[in-house]
Amino acid sequence: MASEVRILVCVDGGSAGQLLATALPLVASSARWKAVHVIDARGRLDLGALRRGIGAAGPLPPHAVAAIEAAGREHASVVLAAAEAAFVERGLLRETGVVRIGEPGREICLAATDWSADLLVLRASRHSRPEPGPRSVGHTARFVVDHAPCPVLLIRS
Amino acid sequence: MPEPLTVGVVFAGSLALLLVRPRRVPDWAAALGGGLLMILVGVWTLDQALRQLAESSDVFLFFVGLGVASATADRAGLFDAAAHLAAATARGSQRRLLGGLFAVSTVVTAVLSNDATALLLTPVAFAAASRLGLNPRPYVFTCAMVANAASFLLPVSNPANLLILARVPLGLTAFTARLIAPSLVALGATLVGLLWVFRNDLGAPYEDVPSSGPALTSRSRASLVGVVGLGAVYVLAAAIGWPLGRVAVTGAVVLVVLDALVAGWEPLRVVRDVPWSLLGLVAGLLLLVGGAEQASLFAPLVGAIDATSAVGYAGLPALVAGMALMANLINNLPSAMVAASALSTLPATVERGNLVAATIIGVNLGPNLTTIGSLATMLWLVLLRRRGLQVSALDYVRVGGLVTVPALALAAVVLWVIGGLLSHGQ
Repeated sequence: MASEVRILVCVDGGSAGQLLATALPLVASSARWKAVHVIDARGRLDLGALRRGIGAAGPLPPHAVAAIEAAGREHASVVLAAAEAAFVERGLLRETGVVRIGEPGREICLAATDWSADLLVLRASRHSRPEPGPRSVGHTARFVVDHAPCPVLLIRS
Repeated sequence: MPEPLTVGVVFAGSLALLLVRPRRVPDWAAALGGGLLMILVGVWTLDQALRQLAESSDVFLFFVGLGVASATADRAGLFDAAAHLAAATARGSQRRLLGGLFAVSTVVTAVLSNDATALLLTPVAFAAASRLGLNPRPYVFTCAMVANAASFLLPVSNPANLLILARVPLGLTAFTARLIAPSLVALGATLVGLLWVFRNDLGAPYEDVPSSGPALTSRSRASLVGVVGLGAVYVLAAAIGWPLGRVAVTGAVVLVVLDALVAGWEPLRVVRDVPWSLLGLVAGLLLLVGGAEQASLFAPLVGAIDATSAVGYAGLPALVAGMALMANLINNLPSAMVAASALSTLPATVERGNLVAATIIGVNLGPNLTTIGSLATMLWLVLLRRRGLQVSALDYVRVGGLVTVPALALAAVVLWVIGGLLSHGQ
């Protein structure tokens, strides 16, 4: 069904239910839903920079890299399971969620392009109660608004 | 003896190479290369060079013992268990989680030294935060900064202390009398600073997911017994003046044997745990700094420290600040060696206790000014950014400055007061 509306929901905390509660009344009931979670890989640069300042430290050992990746994936599976449950609870037409690793803004836009999404839904900021003003939209949301291949629905927490 | 200019070029060139590391030349290779060049230009005969290194054998043993002990504890899952404990006591509050990791980092640094915290505990904290879906940065910075701020709780808490104390000895009582209060003040200021700098991140509560992570296993428990024992023996050894390198190696052997009894014997792993490249770095630096000392390159620094001491104990904060800047310019191990060399060549009449304490505070706490220890790393970050990676060296300076300037200032003022009290008491 080429005319079907494809909606990609970006999930990070247990936020899927909250995003759906806001987005669902606004969109066509024939929509197809999918969740994406991005494991933020930027923090790894902090570890690299830190080690560079220490004498003879060398790169992060493989077992530490593996532990960090496993931790990220563990969180991702919890978040995607919550999204799945939220979709099921509302009886929505859905596809299996995806995990991507990298810079969140960039990965969300790529995920939307890959899936030919018609709409992106995400939180405006990680903070639960951001103060009004320029900082109420976080870096990731701002990047997505600027670069997304489709319209973006920002949800205030 | 060659011209001081030649020695100066070798010294400065090697140090620059070591910091900039073009074409991925490892820092130990730069230092060792510079050390060999010092022999080639005739500062050292091969015999003198070997004797110079042999004189520092206890420092090398200390690095070996520390490296093996902390790698063994890491493999036994001791750090995982500690992070798990911190997460379990946080119960959904990021501030408590940061506080818990702060306490763990302090204890690990005190006993296993700063490198154990910065290199081994930090990735574990990172993974723990990722598992909870939290931004790892506050926790990474906490471990990194406590590694430096807790570095002068005990002489063994940072190898830089040993490098300094090897040249200008200070008994445990004298060390503790001067440094325990500045240490606690610096730690307190660092904790407050971290909580404030990251207040936006830490304000958000998180869902406390039941962790599938590691609890205390029989293996990590054996390791915990070993590390606690090692800590106690360190204090005892420092008090009665045993060479700490031999104590460290003995402690490492005990930890390895305990671990082998529980988890099986892996001799090859132990050999790999020895920090070989760090030994190369230290050996190279010893020859470089020793060579520069012979050519009297540090005379201006000696003069400056002498002038500071002439001002009386009020000069101590200036010395702390100067050493902190040097540690950021050329990294903490080279600064520790340069400072030790300068302190040991002071006129015999100068009372060294307070100067040593000020140097230790500056060299240990100073690297936190850039969060990650050196100007060279900042330059590297700027380079990364030009290649399009999203890191900001300015961010590091901002966090480092906000947290560390108050910590440094308070520690320096406390030392100033203590220095005054001690000299009045005499």
